[in-house]
Amino acid sequence: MISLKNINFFSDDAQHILKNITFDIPDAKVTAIIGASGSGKTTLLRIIAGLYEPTSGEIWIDGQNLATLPKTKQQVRSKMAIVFQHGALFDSLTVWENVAFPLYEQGTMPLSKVREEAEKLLEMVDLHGVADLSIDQCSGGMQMRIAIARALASYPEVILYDEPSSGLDPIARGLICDLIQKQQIQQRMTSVLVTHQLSAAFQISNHFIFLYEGEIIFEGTADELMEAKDPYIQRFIQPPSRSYRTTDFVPL
Amino acid sequence: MKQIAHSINNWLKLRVIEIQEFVIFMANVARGLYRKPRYWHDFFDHMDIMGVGSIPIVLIAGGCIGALITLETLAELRTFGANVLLGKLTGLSIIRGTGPVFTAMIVSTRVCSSAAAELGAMQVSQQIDALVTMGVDPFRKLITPRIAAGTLMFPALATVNGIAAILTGALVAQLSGTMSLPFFLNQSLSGITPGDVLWGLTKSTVFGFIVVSTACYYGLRVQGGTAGVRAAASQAAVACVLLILISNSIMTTLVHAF
Ligand SMILES: Nc1ncnc2c1ncn2[C@@H]1O[C@H](COP(=O)(O)OP(=O)(O)OP(=O)(O)O)[C@@H](O)[C@H]1O
Ligand SMILES: [Mg+2]
Repeated sequence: MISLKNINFFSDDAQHILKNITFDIPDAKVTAIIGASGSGKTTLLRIIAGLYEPTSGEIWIDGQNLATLPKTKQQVRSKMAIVFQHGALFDSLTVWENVAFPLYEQGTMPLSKVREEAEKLLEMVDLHGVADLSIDQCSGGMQMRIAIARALASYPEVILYDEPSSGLDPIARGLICDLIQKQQIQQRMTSVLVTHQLSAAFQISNHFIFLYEGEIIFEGTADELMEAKDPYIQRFIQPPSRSYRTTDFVPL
Repeated sequence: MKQIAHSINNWLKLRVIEIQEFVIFMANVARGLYRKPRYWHDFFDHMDIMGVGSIPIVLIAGGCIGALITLETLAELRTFGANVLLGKLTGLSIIRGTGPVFTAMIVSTRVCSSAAAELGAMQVSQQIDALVTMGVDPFRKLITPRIAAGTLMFPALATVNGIAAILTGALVAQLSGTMSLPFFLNQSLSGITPGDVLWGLTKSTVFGFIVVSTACYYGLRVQGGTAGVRAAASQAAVACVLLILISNSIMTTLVHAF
């Protein structure tokens, strides 16, 4: 389990970006972090992944305080993979080389097998016959799936997704959600899903953290979220008014 | 007045911070040298890109510089009637002086802004963060191989440049009827001591190290999107040329002082 305790984060220009963040990420479940643009979701994810040091507060992973074990830190974190907001694929490499990259780096697999394994991972994310394309030949949705395949290549126990479905059409979005769900069920992977698309979050998660201007204003299940009294949350979760449609709605 | 003092103070502070950052950067690079894993493949790739890829422009530049120096030296020598010294003087000034500096300048136009822009783009698109989360040290993977390749390739390119310059010089001497090509070559080669060659190579090595590490430093500290990449590429290019000139002056002063 990953626990965050009183995490505060100030940016270089002294903005208070995260305020007293405390919550637990349970094992083998999908935790969804939702909130508006600029509420600090990516920053929080980067702190969990170790890319930013929190200004204050503690991160505990499996009962160990990360701040107190500098050397072994790498080891705990190596079980974690992150899927970045825009994929962050290596554009100097081909599709399969991107996916194979963590395998090469770990050096645990004979080189002759790496390509085979990379193709297997690509099949897993429903990509066929694209192994030799370069990254700029791939669409946004494909790039996202390649990024997920690359993250899965290191066989992580924890996987952090930063807006994996933003900017995609509903079908591609559904594919990505299915994929995340499949990983979580089959591999019992702990997932953290950052998104501002509630439909995606509701489909695959039942543990919600709601961020508002760097503060957690809600933590709970989907049902609790739907019943939350906070007017901001209500506005966020209300579907857009469709009254203009009711006139041409033909009941069957 | 107060405002001027204030802005000078700020400027100085920024430069001190920059130097401090650069020192930390270089410490990380040095750590990448003696710790495993080493990225030989990337190292050879960069040797190929920086070194082999620069050979054509280095050859052309060498030819032009050789011809130019020979003609200028010849004009100067004629006024003293000392034409016979042409080969010796031209060879020396190419090997000790212009060769390393011009090579560094020319190669830095290829290497400097492109390395800064490439690393900057990787930084902006979070590829460097992706490396870090995969447990890969970006210094070891991206920076150390580049700097090592540059430090080795600059003297090699200066050698190519020097050979091209002396050969063209000899050709010019022959064509201008001053002396025969073999005589020019013989004279310039016998005029150059191993010390001169060593001095030229040392300067090139220092330039290679300075150019590539400066480029990488500017590339890696990029922030703020495409504008940041653009700024880094132009800052790196300017800094590289200035640092070549400044370090050349310092080294030349030192070697003549002792
Ligand atoms: N390196 C930084 N320096 C200064 N401010 C930053 C930095 N990174 C983020 N911020 C600020 O922190 C706040 C939160 O940013 P963050 O990227 O975490 O938001 P987000 O919730 O992920 O938004 P989005 O949904 O648009 O991705 C923003 O106001 C942003 O301007
Ligand atoms: Mg974000």
